[in-house]
Amino acid sequence: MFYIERLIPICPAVVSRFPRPEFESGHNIPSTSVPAPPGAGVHVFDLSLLLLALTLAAFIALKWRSRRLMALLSVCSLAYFGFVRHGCLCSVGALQNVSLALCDSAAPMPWYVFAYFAAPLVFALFFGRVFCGGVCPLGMIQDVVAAKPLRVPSWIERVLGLAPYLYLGLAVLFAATGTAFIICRFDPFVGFFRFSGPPWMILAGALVLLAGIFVARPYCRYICPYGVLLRWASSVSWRHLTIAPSHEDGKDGGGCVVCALCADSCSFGAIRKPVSARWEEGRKRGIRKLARTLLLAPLIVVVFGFAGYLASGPLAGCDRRVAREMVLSHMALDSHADTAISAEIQAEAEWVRWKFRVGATAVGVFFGLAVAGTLVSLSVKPKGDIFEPDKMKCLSCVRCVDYCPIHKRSS
Amino acid sequence: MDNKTTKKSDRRDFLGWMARGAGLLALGAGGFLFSKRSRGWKNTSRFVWQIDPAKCSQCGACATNCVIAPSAVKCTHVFSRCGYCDLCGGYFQPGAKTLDTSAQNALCPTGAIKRKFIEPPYYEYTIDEKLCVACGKCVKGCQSFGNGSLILQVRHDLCLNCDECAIAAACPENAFRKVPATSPAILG
Repeated sequence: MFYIERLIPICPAVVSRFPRPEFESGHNIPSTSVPAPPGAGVHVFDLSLLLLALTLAAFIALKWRSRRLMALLSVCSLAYFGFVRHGCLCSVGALQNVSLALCDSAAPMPWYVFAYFAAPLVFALFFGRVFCGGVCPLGMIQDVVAAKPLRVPSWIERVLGLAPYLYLGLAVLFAATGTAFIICRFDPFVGFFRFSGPPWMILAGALVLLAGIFVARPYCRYICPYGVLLRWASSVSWRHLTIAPSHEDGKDGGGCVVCALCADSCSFGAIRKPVSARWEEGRKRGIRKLARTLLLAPLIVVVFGFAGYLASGPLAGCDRRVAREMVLSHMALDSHADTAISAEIQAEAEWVRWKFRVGATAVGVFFGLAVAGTLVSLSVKPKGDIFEPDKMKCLSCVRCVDYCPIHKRSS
Repeated sequence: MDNKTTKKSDRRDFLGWMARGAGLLALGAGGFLFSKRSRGWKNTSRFVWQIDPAKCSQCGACATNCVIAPSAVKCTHVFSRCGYCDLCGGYFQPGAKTLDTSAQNALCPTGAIKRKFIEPPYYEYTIDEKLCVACGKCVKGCQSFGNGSLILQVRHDLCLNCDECAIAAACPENAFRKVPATSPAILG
């Protein structure tokens, strides 16, 4: 990516070589047409539809517990937020606007863009990832092709599950430094929503959809950076979708009779099984394993942090201000002339490089923490004596509910 | 036993509310921060992409990089700046033999510029936006031999207003910027 800016001085845009004519025939000079952007109300309307869809999804997941209704909602969301609104602005992408506005007060940040970012998170804090279950157009386009989902081996699931953390870190880094919005640039589905796009984008989208036939919603599980934030929010959610209906005592999923009928119903591997007695036997070994992992954790964080620091140079090279300075300094070297680069260009590039050094190190540390966290979670005894959705992974799609015999009896 | 369970679930409830409270607080603090220091917090209408004609070098990236085809960028004529020249640098190829509307003399590859006689020696030039592909040839011509009244502008009846504009990302001059939707043009 090389951006050559202002290498060749261009003519000033506006020059007055020829005077404005005075017409004898009384000809009126037409005014320049400036088509107005779509009315201000469109975005508020979109936002209220988003809030309505989120509310409906929450009701469907928690109260009505109906896959059919959720599927209907997801098709509507796909049609409107995807194909009618062309998938832009979306909550996933708004994450970058927020990152940029945090670091650069000159970046525009209208309130409803922030609302786009915050609303699914607030809903996840209270009701789980209902945004993923029935609203997000990126998820819904994959949901409709998930025809033959296979079970992903758990070690692959865990390794690939780390990728979103890295993607989130990089997306925030690139957005915050004002380099690029990589979530938008490498969005595989937006080309479908617009019915146009560069060939690689359509191809990537087609490949992800093809993979999505066998691995349900691969983008959501192994790529989506916003999903990381939703995972965190959902992990402490107030209420959450349960497989078995709740008992009167209010315990979530308390009706579960551990019949295991739902065990393989989840296409996303998000159902936690009851903990077997095996864990009790290896208690001592488990403690030792946990201690080892905890001791290893700081090392992992430091290593990834350092890797991030080392990567900051090439990453900064993606920025147009840095690339420009690099091209100019090469030209200055080649020509052996005194085409010295202006101090302003150099200072700007240096400032961006500094931001990348700090930011990439932070991204490395963040990813190291994610890796260490995954390792630690492997060494901790899982809890629970019933089949229940893993609050972090569960996309609240309500598919599992139909497999529960208790649900069938009550209805 | 009952007591113990209640206590345990009470503690979990409390921690849960703490975590949710922290999440809400973080979002609220973010919103408050933006409302205080960010540009355009109160704007209900969006910010839209626009080309600064003073920076544009008519490199042709607008024609090829837009996510919609043909591009949402079009040549825009600022009539008030036009000299109404007979020999129009934006309309004719350099060294055109005759100053007429014949195709071999026209600079525009799609014939999107219409030339209309007004009175001697003045001609009026209008852009047929349906034909314009934003190659910028006429803009360059008008700048080299003219008043610079032809400029490239994002037309917001066509623009999808992507969060990251694909042309802006490819623009070598960094000429794209976000402007409030209430004044969506930069006519220079």
